[in-house]
Amino acid sequence: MELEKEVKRISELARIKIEDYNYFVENFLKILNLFKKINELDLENEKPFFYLEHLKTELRKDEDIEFADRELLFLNSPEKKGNFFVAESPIELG
Amino acid sequence: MSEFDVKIGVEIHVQLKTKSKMFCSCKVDLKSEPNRNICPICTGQPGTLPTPNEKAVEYAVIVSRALNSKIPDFLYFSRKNYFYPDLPKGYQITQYGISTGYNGSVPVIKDKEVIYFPIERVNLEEETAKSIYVDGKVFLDYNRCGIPLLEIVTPPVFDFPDILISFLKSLRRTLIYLGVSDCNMEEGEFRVDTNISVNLKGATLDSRVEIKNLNSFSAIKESLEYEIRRQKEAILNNAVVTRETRLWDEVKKETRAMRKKEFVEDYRYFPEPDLPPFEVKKEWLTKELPLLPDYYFRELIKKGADSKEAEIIISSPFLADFTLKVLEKFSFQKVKGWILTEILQYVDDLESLRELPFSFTDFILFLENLEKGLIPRHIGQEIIRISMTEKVNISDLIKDKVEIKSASEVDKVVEEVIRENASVVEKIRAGKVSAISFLIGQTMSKLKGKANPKEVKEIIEKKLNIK
Ligand SMILES: [Zn+2]
Repeated sequence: MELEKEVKRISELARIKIEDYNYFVENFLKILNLFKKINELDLENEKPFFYLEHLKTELRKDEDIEFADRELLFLNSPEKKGNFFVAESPIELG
Repeated sequence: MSEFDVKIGVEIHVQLKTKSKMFCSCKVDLKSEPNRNICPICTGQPGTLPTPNEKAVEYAVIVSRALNSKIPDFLYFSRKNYFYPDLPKGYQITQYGISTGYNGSVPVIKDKEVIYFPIERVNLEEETAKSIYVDGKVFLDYNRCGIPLLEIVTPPVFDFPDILISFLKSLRRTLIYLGVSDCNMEEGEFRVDTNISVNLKGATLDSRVEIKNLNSFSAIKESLEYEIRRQKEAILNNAVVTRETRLWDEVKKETRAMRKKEFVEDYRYFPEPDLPPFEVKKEWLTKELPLLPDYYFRELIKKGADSKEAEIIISSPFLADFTLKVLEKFSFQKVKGWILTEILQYVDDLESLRELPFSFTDFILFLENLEKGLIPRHIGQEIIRISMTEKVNISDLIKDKVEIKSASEVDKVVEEVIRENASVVEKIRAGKVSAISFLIGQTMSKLKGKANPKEVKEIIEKKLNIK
């Protein structure tokens, strides 16, 4: 089934191991059906809409500020060696 | 006529020279110890939010303007999703669908002419971390992660590696003149991905091969030449050229396929929800741009330089400006030897030449002294040598070297030389006038060069009653 393929592909891309595909397929279907409601609306003359109109990105001045607690950042890393974060290598040279 | 169609396009990544990173306030400094300049934002900790660096956006707009690109009224960012340890958020914030600049062009100097090559888009995004691969593991330094990065993309319009190299050199020079990046290739501040497809003429097969992360002009040229050869051979042998990404092996001088472990590229871009659109500020669009290399090139040609000479001079924005200022007073013919040979022989890296031990006014004074004959040529060369190697202002050296001896002192020495070289004097009197240069040489050497040889000659002639 198409949706199952899609779920498998997304989990592969995100590197998430999924045990029960059916669970996800069922739930995605529910969400997708909810969104299908939008198709019932007449959107002929509507522009694509990504953001709430009143929101605007504020830009920051180019100033460097040091973050004081660097050690804390290593705590979420699978491994640390010296000053490096260490992870599984995602590439292979042929 | 070649039976093949070669199409080359490029994607250039340029690190911008800002104080802080693109979406956080960490310092941009690649010389620090690993992971010195990191924070929760650039290490992708959950719950953090990005704030764009205004300077980086301004630089992107300035580059777009300099590359004759169209700039939209509003900008926004997009998310490029991919799971890779060098970008720990799980996505890169980049531009997609909208670019800071699009449909631009780069002027390229070819012979005496300036021709334009198209730029598809200029995107602003964030740099990834530096990865070091060791035994199936990757060591990550996030100092680089989040540095503002420009991505400049061309359509596949180049049919020959050489013209592409000229294009890249022009583009790089423009960025250096704009002051937005040092574009140091060895440091990875200006990196090039090429894409190349070779087809039999008329065939429409798309067998695009990408070569990633080339950081020298020789690597770009050699890898393209290799790849053109490889693909032509494959076509002639009826083999299939796979659409893939390859890496250039600098040692073996060949490209090799790069494989990502069970990783499919499928970026699923969408507008970055954390960063709503923002307006392009008027001041970014109206601020005066620095003079660019093609301006200097044209001016130098007008003043009589040939295109090779002009290209050498414009490789440093400092030198280009310096030379044009000097040319307001002197002709190119008069100064070219002094600049191109005498000064530049002491410069190791022309591109990073940002100053000389003297100003253009000091140099003009030097040239005036030369022209008046107050500095003999060889002393002039010596002054430049000392100035360049010992970093002394030439004006100080002129004072020191060229306290020209007074006429009476010269007179005394000439008499001495005449006395000591009676046989030569006789020959001159007998008609061998050319021997006078020997006497001039002797006098100059006794005066340690601190005299005007023209004057010395006149004094000798007067004393020997010859004219
Ligand atoms: Zn940071």
